[in-house]
Amino acid sequence: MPYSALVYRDLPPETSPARATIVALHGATGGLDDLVPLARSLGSDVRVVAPEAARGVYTVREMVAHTWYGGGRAGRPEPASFGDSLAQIERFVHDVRERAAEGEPALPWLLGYDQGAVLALALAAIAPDLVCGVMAVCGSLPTFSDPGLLEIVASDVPVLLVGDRSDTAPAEAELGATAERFKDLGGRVTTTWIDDARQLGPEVATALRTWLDGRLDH
Amino acid sequence: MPQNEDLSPTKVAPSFRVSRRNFLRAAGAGAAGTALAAGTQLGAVPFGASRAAAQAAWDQEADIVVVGSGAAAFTAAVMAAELGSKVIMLEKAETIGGTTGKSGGGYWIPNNPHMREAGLTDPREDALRYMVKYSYRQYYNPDDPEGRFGAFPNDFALIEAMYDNASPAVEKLAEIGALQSFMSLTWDKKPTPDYMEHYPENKAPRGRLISVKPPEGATGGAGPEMIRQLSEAAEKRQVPVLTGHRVERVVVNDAGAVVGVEAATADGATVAVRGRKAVIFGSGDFTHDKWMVLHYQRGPMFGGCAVPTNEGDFVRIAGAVGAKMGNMTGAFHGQVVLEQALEFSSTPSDIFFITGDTSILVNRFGVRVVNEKRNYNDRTQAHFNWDATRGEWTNEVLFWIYDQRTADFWGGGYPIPAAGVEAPYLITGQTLAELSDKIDARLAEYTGRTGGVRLDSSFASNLDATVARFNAFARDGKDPDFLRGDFAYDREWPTSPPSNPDFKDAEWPSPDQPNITMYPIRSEGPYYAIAVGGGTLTTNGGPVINPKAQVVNTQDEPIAGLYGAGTCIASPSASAYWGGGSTLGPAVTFGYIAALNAHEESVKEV
Repeated sequence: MPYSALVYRDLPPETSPARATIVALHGATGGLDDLVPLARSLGSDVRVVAPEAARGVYTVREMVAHTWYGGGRAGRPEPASFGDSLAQIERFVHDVRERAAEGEPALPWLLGYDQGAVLALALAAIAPDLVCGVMAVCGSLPTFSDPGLLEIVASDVPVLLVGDRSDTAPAEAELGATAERFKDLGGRVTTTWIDDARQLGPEVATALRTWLDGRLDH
Repeated sequence: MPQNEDLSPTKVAPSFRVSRRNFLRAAGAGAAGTALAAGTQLGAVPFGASRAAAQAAWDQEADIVVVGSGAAAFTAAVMAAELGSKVIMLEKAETIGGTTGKSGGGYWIPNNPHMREAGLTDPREDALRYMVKYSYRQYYNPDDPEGRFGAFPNDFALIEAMYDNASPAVEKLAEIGALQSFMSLTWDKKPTPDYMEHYPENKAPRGRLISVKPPEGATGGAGPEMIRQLSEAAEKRQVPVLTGHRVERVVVNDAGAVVGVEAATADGATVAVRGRKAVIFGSGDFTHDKWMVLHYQRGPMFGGCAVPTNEGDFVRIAGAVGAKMGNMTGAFHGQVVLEQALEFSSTPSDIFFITGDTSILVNRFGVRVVNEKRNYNDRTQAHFNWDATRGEWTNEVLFWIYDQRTADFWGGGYPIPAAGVEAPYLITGQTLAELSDKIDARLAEYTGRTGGVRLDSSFASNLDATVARFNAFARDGKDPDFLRGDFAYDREWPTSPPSNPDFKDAEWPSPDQPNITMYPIRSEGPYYAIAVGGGTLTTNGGPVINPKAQVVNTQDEPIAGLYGAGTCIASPSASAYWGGGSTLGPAVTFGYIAALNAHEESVKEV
């Protein structure tokens, strides 16, 4: 039995051997395929694994989307649903490691957007040994009334923070605080601001690919 | 990739770092058991012993205190403020919205303005007959000389209040710009049918389900949109909503009237809030109090969709001032994917429909037990069958079986995964025999959490016979066992054209399909199975109210100053789901009624 109850799509690399495994976490009111094109654009030699939030969201007419947690803003989650999803993603990463093919990297990189970015950062912060690094688009470390809720132990985990110059969320201060938090604990943080980053367009893809290539070449 | 094949007994689970318990506590949930264990009282306190008396002042004062922030609470708060009362809202969770915020946002409103605009009539007496029959089936008497169709007096009065106030509530909320709505339609663009549209008493079987209408151009909708609109209306009327405030006690004066509350905040402080006229509870159900579920609910229950802060606080609080409890065995039920119910603190989604025309539900003996195309609430009742000889719940876990046709046509609609998507809860087999073995192996993984449910040795052979029998029904177009497809609801809600875009041009229904809800299950695999348990959307028992939404005591007298609406009270529909939206329809209606009456109350001395 897998540890996680999340449904997912597992896309092997187009060319072997796999250079990296990317776990792609979609945003609020999204679906598991949302980040697949972006993750695929990071290289033909990456394995992409995309889980889907379990909680269905009713849109205007039908239940067509999924969300990781409740709450008004991505960076200020409702704790119970956030905890459920974070626990599931931690378990999912263990499943990904156990399913890695012979010769394939076992530790994944986390790519997250919006709520997915918040969760990716949170997992990397409390369990840095489970991931190679984090690419967080439009997300910051979450804040809770109890600041001690996340037991952050991050050490030298590499982090790329991509902010959206055209959007107010997350605010510059939130990304800045996230960067400082990781740096204080030994993290290697790069912050990039891109116009309309929420569109997940070519500029975002280029920024992610350049950053990832730089880390993989080391 | 193999799915769920690793059944190795030597596999050791890793040590996980995320503690869900900590997050639950931070959410304001999980406190009931620990608080009680620590001696903290949920209940009532005389004013003389209260915090307000001790400090000779209330921390906050309003005419009306509203507890909760879902549909019932917000409707009450907005309406009371609209009438001129000063209102304050207290929400236990860190965020507003309650279970309404997770919901589909539909509300069942008889004789609603959209029906009238569409020329659909909904006569009062017929509607009352329908509601009484569905809610109190065993007592229904069309010739009742008392004119209550067999219902008890207060039960009938609540149903009358529902009919008389539901549409006025919707119209008023729209008029004051607080909540806009539209009539919900089925996939073939008809007003949605009620869940017992075929009762002869139901003379207005379509159109009572309405949904919240988002602003032009908005993509969101449903429950979150309902909360957005109502919270905006509350804000416009200067109604503060204090989140992270768990109401633990009502404060009562010497005359026994409720005059305020004491709430605990996340940082451990207690605040005293006076409600000069009244306190209205819309604080949610008791799905997440395991003791209450075990002792009050019928049969085995796997999870619930209510938000985790729904721990039955109002049962304990109102009980302390002598409230009469009702419908404690009741719930609005829904089937849930077993594995998900076991893994989440609040079940993420219920199984709204059993989609697919080749889908069947069988029990551990491989036998169908229900019309799979009925609504979630009624369908779930099939789980609660006690076998007097075996001494077991024979249908505790059911198995949704389907073939590749359903996987293709309806894949991607929860919980059937789309092509290429792996679902850990999905069990596959190339033959029905292989599928049976794998189902049993899966059940073996969960024996410690299901009471040890395993397949009976007859399952595989019975499943073959069940499939053959179902296929004969599908070819005939008639299901004499469960009448599947004989009703508009079966055909128009859980049955729909292929939802998978890859098959949108597929011929459906097939020319050889006399009943669109059924098609013969293929003679060749692969076959699929999903283990399904019975759960709740919310429970719906609690303090009994009268038609003014006042909580009553065991003598059926109102407890002065105490009102209730939503899923925290004994449901005015009992456990019947009159039609889609039967949780939120009464919640909005009785929230509205509570506001009208609480506003008229005189100020109470402390």
